[in-house]
Amino acid sequence: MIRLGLLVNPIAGVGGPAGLKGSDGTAAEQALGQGYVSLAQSRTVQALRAMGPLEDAFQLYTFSRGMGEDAARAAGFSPIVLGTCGEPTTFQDTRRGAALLADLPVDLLLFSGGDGTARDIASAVGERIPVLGIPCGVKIHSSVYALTPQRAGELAARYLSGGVPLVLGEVLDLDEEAFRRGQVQAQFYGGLLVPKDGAVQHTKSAGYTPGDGGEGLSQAIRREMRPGALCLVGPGSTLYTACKWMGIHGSLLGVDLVRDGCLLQRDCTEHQLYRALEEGEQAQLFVTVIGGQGVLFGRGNQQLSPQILRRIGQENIRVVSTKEKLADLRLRPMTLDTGDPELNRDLAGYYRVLVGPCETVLYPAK
Amino acid sequence: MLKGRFQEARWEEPILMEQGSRGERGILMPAPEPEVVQVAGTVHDLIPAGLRRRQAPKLPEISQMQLARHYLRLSQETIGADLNIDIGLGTCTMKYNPKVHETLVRMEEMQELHPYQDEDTVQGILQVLYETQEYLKAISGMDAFNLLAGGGTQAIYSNVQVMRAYHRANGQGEQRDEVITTILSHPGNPGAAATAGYKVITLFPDENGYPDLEALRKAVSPRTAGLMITNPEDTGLYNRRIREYVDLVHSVGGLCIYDQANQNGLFGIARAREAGFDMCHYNLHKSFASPHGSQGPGCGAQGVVKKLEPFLPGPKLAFDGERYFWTDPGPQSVGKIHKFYGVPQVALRAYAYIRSLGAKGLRQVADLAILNNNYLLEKMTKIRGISLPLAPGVRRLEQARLSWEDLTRETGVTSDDIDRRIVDYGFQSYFSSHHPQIIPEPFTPEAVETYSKADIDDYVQAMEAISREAYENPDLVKGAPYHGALASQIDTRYLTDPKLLITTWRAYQKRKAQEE
Repeated sequence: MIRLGLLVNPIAGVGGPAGLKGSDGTAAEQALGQGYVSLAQSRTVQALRAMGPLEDAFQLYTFSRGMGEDAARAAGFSPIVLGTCGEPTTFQDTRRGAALLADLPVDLLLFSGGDGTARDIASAVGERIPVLGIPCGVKIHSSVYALTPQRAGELAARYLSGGVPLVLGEVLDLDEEAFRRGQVQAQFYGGLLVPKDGAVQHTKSAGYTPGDGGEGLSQAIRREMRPGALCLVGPGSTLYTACKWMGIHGSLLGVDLVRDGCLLQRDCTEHQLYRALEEGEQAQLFVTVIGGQGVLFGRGNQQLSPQILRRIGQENIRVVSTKEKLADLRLRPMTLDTGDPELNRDLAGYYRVLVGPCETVLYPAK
Repeated sequence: MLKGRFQEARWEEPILMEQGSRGERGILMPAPEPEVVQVAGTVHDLIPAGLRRRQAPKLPEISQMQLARHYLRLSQETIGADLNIDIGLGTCTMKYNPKVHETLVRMEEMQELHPYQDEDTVQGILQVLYETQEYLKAISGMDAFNLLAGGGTQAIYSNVQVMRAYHRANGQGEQRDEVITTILSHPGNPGAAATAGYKVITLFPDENGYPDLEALRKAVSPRTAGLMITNPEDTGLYNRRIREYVDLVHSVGGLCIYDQANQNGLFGIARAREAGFDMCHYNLHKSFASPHGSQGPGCGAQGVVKKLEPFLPGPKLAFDGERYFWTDPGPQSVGKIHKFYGVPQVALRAYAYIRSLGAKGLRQVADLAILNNNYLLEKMTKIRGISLPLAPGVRRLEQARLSWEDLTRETGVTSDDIDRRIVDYGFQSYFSSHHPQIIPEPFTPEAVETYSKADIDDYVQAMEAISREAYENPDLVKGAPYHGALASQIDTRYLTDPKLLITTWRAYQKRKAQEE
């Protein structure tokens, strides 16, 4: 019988909506203290459900409660629990669990987390067994994760029924301390064997600074900003440099609030954004797509939660990018991974991406 | 046969301004006879005082023999279309330019031709221009043509101007402020539209490599002024559904402009008219065999349907059954696009080309261009490390965009490296892609109809050799060129960064002084 392993980092991504750019160290505690919850459980359930009816096809091996058992049961599986973990769990639990699953060995290890989790998995199993990540982290640079939980489940099922080859995916991670200070430097931490497929996300390409220093894009944004409207400006160097041209010194990696060309608040948490939106006015959102990966929502901008995006509405979302960044997506659509499958469907379609002062590209998002 | 021992001339040739000596002359002009001076005055007197320079210009001072040597040496350091197999320069349609055409443009009547000549003395060339326009009407199916633009993008711009004038005349000039184009159409299209003040909407290809029709459905609106599109695009993929795109734009009141700069795979096979287009343009310096490159002079022939004729630029060339003459284009014309009447020498070569080939011959041009390209692709795609992305297995027309992505991943050697290495084999530097590049490590060859099977085999052999080198000794390819006129690699920033680019002697002197 086919053996499937499952490991969940139960706090993955919790720092995102809190604007903490990660969930390492004390960040998770801080975010949990502010009332934010990790979506790792629900995203893992989504992935498992997407595997389709496989009841007797394989046996699922995992660890107690938040490490996989809860998600597996919620998705209708009867897992074999290999061990129990303390609460809260630590990276050591991930490493220990991964090593045990590799010793079994399982035919595929599904794991939920972000770049930090991928590092733990890589150090524990190396290239001993095939793995696939369910994206749950704040930012994901590694090319060992599927584009969305849904696609992780589908790809896992395809792989287990044979026919999908394996490739070496890259595990990359940032120094979160440096990242919080606004520095983006990814380091290579090793390789993992992942099923090769269009559903696996690419490595993030860093720094698409517009060739003209952002002047053209800043003109485009200025033209689009409605007088008096509350504008949310998402993270990324594209928007950061364009805003600098407008005299707005926002945050490189956070979501800022702007009105009439003036910065109201830098680097907001999800709660702060929601309070600002609750004042009732119709807001606009400016976001950029992640270079190389093509993710629009769900990586590095979890502050823009499903409830925030719903409130803003698709018609008020403006995507900003350089033409080069779109070209480098190699004709793959932009990816929507808000954590809410229904919202992903609602937001799908073509966007008029602002690429220059008087130029847009009609580009699809899925 | 692979030319493994190629070595281009390499001269340590100073800039012309650094040569010669003070007072040295190439030509000593004889003084005018006293009788002439008495009637006409001196040259000095002929120039109005306000236009006279106070100081003589700093021109090179050099004798004829030294000058001839200078230019001959420079010519030895270029790889022109007559010297090599120029298959690499795709989208440029580097076909053979018949030498007999040069005899025509070197006729005294052509060399001495002056735009201020009385029309009665230039009936011959006017007839050539007029009939060329008539032939282009038949080739495209358009109702009116002019040969005024000095290049392809100028003709594109003229088409945009006509589109704007048409919408204005219908009271929709303000409302229609958007132009739709595709990422794989020549950048001259969005460039011309933006220059004319339009907002540009760009479509990317769909998963089959064709412009995304779904995106076009989202793009069209009452604000649409028009669609500017190429078919086939640089990928060489002919879009069979082009009529649907055109009809969609027409359904919202927009016009459709067909960029036919490269018409080589379409002669006698498909016309702008049947695809429903309102306007098109041809680069006579591409498919119509006038020499291409060196930044001109070229000729962009502009064609439109009947309803747009009143808006064409002027002057208009007319024929009353006996006499050819220039006439006012009418009150709705967009005015002038080029000084005088365009470049008649280019049009004359195109005229000779059309006349010598005839309708059947032109059709054969397209057939052979497609055949040559597909023969080339069959062989190229077997080379290790190269691939043909977008619509694999679908036949291309006259050109294709290949990719060295696999080779780059496996060896670290990039398309740019190969582009420099090909020079060591005696072939001209090739064309990678327009920007932005949606195909990684691109290379766009075009084996036009005038290359023989042996030529194509030679070219492919060189590419095979370079691929082998890349896998066996990547540093060799990365360090190229070794046998070109340049011994070393150029820092390309000096060509692409406006802050570093120097185009005049004076600017060069200034920069040198600053650096010292």
